[in-house]
Amino acid sequence: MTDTYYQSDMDIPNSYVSKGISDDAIKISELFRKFREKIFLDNITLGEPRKEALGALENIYKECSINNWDGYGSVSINIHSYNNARKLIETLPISIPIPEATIDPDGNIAFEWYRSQSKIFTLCLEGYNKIIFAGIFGNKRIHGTEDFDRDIPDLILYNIKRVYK
Amino acid sequence: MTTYPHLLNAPIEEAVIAFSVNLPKDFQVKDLLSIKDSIKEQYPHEKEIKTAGYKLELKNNAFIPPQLLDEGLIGYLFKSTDEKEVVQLRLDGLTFSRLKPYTNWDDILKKAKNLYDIYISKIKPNSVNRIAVRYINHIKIPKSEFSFSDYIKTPPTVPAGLPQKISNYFSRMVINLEQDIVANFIQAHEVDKKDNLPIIILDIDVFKTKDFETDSSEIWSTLERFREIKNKIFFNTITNKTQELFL
Repeated sequence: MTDTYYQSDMDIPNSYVSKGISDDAIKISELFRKFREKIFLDNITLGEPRKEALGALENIYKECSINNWDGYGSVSINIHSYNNARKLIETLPISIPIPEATIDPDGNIAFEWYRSQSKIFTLCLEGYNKIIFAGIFGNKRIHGTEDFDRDIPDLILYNIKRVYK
Repeated sequence: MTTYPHLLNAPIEEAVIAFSVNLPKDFQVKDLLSIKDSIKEQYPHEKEIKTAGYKLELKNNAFIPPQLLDEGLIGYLFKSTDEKEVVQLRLDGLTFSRLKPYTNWDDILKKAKNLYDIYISKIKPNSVNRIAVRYINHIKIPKSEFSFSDYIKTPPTVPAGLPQKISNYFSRMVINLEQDIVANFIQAHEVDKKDNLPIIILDIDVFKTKDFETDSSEIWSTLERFREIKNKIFFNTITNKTQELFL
């Protein structure tokens, strides 16, 4: 029987992935998590949009955590996708609106930033760390894949901001 | 290159050298075990690494305490017999840690390089996309009443007119350096519950995010540069009084 060591990617987002294992490394992670909860969640101005988005995500988690949650053979929520959705909600810059999460029949969480039919950006969090994205900006259509290992990738942030330009 | 004093009893709690990689698309976590035979002699103690998230749940518009979510296997951790050296093989890369007592840079770099070479030959990642050197320093102040400025050159400041006693302190800065090198620098302070003595933690994580070829010599020259930077941050943060604690 192999022992298990639990590690959280949520403790220190934004480029902080040189994962230490000493007591002090764990202490720093814990301090950061508490700090983030205090600043971003226990706070109306900064925290309320995130609180609402996390609440909506939580409802999806509850409703879609078993297979066939829609009666049409859908797959239960992908736990990595769910976790990355939380990370995305918690690390989006405060200047960017947080849309409500949706779930696709494969169990992956998706977000869409919509301003008009010619300004849309949507992303889906797939597998362990993939972001599949697509956007319409006027006559231009884009799509692609990015890794979501630590920061929200610059390309993703750039395209979300384009929706509101 | 600037030289810094050698601290005989350096307060380094953990030294980390880390490589993040792009793995082939069809790579499975169990494939990481292909390394096991090559390292089991030096690192015989094995653990699975599972990623854990904190599930925040709303009840009556308030969050209930976070619950730990087991999100599945993401890698393996191997420890040396004395448990002072730890290798993490994860889906996002390779990390080598030296826990206290610290040895020296050449020793840990050599071991990290040896592990890296094995990793590259067995796992065959497409590229390396981030490299890092992280040093966590644990400075125990020998008396309970103290002034931060006696021990660090960048002390927290309490506004004038208020009691100057700080029980907890946490500061994080992200410093942009040359050639896209970045340093995350955390200063934290709390009181050791065992002996009531204050502790200052200086956590210096220097990294660069870039796609490197796996055999690029730039990886190793950049790590050497990281070492200089982390030393510069550390020695320009601590005072002579702090240095004297570890000479």
